[in-house]
Amino acid sequence: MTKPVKTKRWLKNITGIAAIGVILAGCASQQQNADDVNDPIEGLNRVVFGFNTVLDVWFLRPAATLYRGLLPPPVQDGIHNMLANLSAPVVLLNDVLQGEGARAGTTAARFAINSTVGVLGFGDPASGMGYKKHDEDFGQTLGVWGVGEGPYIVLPIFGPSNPRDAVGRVVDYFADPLNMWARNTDRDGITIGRGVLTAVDTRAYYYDAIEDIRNNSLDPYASFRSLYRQRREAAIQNNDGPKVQNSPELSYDFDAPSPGDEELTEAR
Amino acid sequence: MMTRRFFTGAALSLAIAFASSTAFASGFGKEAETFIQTMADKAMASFRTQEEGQRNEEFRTLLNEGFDVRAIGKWVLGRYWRKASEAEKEEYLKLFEDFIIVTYSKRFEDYSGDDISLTVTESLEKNDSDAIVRSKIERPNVAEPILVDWRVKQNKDGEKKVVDVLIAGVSMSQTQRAEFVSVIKRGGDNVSSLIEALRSKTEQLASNVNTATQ
Repeated sequence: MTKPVKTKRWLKNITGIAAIGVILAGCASQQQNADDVNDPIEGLNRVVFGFNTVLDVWFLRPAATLYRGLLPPPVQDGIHNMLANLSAPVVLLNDVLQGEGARAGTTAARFAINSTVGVLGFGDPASGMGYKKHDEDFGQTLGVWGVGEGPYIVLPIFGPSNPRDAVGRVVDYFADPLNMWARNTDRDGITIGRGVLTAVDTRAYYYDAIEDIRNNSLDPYASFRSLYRQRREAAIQNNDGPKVQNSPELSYDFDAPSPGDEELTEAR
Repeated sequence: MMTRRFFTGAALSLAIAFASSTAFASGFGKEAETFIQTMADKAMASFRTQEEGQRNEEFRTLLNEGFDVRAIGKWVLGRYWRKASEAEKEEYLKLFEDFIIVTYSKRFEDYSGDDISLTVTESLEKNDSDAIVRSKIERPNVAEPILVDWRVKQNKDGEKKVVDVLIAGVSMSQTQRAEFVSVIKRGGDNVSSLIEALRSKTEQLASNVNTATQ
């Protein structure tokens, strides 16, 4: 599929991004204090967060509600699977860049099986064959390479992020074969359509969790910030989901502060 | 973004009976695994028999048996624990427990209909009073299991208590702490601002539940 000319273009994209990665590496990772929110532009972030919430309430949430109401769950699952399958090449690329051979093999097998037997990714027969899904992106790859997250940023529309993950998003966008093809053949509608569908699918998929936080949190902004940062860290450690075939290896930082630290020695 | 798994797991945590276990730990880790299993079995059994309306009280009993609520509440306040007056500490701890009960019993209820199962997969021990137990929650028709890790510590009375629950690698205690500390900071570094927010939120959520069940 990929013609030499496009490969070159692809390489060019990657090289440009790698340069940004090197710049980012300047802000190396640091051990975090439990209460270090790493949020120097919190005031601005809260404004953007408020803007995103309004956008969500006006557009995305109603779209997700309709989506959940109109489509039977198996169809929703199918679309979710299909979108995940479209991302498989990018996941594969990041598996490779992280030196995760076994996970790369799993991703490749999943893509081959689900694109064919799974009818363009609508089904997920690969999971039943022991090739479980996992996620990777270039933000995580940078994390594995030792790039620190940088300050917390709320992006308009895209939501919680940081410089490392924002760069990762851009790289993943340019490295994606479907986007590349759409760009080279002036089919922008495909990229936009996929983006909109992904947004609605994601919002629908996490519907209950998002509503839960919005209703129950005393400070949803702070909750989303904490959740985002912890999730990204767990994702980089590959500690958030089943690893390839086997049960995930349990690693745990016992030295991080935790409840009960003083309580156990303190007289009550 | 956080996941749905995250809250599903939180809601499920107490409500589950599970088949165990292929563990590698021997001492405290092994004991902690048994503790988690026993607690989940008990929660499941009691949940099946309890009446509507008694849910919160049942939940309170289970929570206090299985979790060191006081230690969690204290830790969640971060450096503000020391700044709080004795009266504020007492009031805060009481409100914290009510807040946890009103938020988690709702989640618990939302997911209790599922035919779910929890399996302890392994544990890791730091020493003879501190371990982490990993479990896997599976739901029918959902391919991906939720990974739930339980941090278990032994207190000076020799009782095992859960002090943190991690869902897909995300610590509930840490998340709660981030939320509370932010509320205090924005309230001019006053613990009383959190106490006020906790009180009105808990009342609001409790009245929502009452309205919904009437």
